[in-house]
Amino acid sequence: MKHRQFFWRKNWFWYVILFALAAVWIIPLVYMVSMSFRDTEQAFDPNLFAGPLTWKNYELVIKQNPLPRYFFNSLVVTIVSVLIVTLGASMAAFGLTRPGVRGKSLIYNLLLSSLMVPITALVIPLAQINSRLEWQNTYWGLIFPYAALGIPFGLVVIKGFMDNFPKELEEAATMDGCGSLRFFLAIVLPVLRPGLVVVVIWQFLTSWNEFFLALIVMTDKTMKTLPLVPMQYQGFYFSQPGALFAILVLLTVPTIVFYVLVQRNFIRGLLSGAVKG
Amino acid sequence: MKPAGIMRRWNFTDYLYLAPSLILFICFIAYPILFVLYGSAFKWSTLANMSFVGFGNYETLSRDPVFWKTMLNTVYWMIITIFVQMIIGGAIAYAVEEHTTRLRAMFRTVFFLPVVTSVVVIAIVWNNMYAPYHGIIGYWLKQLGAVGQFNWLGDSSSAIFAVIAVNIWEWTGFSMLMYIAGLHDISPEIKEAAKIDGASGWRGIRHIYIPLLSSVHKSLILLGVIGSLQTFALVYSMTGGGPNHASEMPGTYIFRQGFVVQQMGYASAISVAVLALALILTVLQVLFLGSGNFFSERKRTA
Repeated sequence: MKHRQFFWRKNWFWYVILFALAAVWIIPLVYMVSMSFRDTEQAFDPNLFAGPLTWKNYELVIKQNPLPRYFFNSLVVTIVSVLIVTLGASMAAFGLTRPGVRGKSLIYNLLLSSLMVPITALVIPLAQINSRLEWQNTYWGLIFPYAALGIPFGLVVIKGFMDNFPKELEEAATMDGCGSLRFFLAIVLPVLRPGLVVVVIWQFLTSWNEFFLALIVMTDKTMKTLPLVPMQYQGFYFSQPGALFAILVLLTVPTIVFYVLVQRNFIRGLLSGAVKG
Repeated sequence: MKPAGIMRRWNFTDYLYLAPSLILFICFIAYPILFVLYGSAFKWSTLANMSFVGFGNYETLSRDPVFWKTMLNTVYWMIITIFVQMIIGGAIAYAVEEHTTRLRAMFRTVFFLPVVTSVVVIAIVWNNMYAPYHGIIGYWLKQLGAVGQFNWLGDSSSAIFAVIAVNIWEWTGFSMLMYIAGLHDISPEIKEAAKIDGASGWRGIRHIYIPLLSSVHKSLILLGVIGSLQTFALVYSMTGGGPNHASEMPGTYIFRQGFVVQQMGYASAISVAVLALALILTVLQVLFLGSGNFFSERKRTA
């Protein structure tokens, strides 16, 4: 025992506080998981760990619902918008260093200004654009707005890395007759990697969880993305809270697994200078 | 961006790198802004039947008590969430980064989990936790000696604050992460020097950490202001803006007017008000706090 607790000694006070706070923080998620394993009779037991546990809810919701379909919709929208944001933002960050571009600060500030635009104020016109282009209930109806709204943040992050890019490297490459496209793909992109990781992860989470625009664009049941799914079942499983919570858990597990897998790279990217702190 | 020493000539291929971002910006941000300005001058439900009303929508808006309620709720939302998140998030970041050696990754992850969880999932979970009779919050308060049941989300005096509390739970991890990034920019020499000078503990926090993290504070205020103005999913799925508009936010009101009662012109006018507010608050912030946030060059306190 003595040995295993050595890291406690100096900072026990901070560990106690952090553990207590972390325990409070995790309660809603524990509660969600606990509810999903309960029978209907135990569902309203306020005890956090009410038993007995059952897998029945999971069997029920998996049998009854086209969850893979919603998962697929979310995946398409997310992956394509992440690709556009990452590529678009890194191209723009590179473009802003090119000697042939005039009005750099005007362009940069213009793009940056969209960080200040609340998406709530754009849903009316975006819905009109979608209905005129007949993008209602299509993937494009979400992909393009997500990409447009995501690029400014991506640009800020990537430009932070671009600014530290050694000028000599570019001059050397130009002398060697390296075209700008080859220079961008072969030299710039690999150097920007820690920044790209942050942009990919952040945009992934943003697109995956976006709700407002999805609610307006995806009205057709087969086109819904995952964030829209729980609302639809809230009434349906009203008398079976366990089943509703099983759906919530099934929706949450992939994002948590995703984040736990990438968090090391995400944090490393952040700490290496991705965000102006 | 400083001008290059020599003016070079305009180069078409160089502009191609900016094309995707600019095209998306024009089509999905600039054009929508112009469109919503235009649309706010009409009474309409579809583009086919627009009738011009000039400033009519704005006149109605200025006398609409629900709109002013959304403004008041936005003020509550901004002030409470921004500062509470900064304080808790900053405290967690400080504790984790400066006072622990092990389990850092675990703490960082636990507090960040709500940020990655879908808002609607969060809403349903908290709705059940808040629920009178079977909700665990009421149950624990009763264990602690509170009398009677309280309907947190169903009572118009508490609904908005109950949602704000959930929002704080959801986003504190983000503040924490920003502060962690900021703490890593303070050089170890400064921290050491502060310790030697006896500026440890609370004095160190006040005189070293808080001032040196000023750019993080500014970023969080800026993001918090915009985040408050674009609040929708949490309120929509927890209270729907109710009871009786008590927790209505601009986002839910735009949705209600635009997509429920089909008053697109009126919803556009609310959108313009939100845009104007975002612009004013951003300008005010840049004027009073400076642009020492996102927009400035990264400075390492070396």
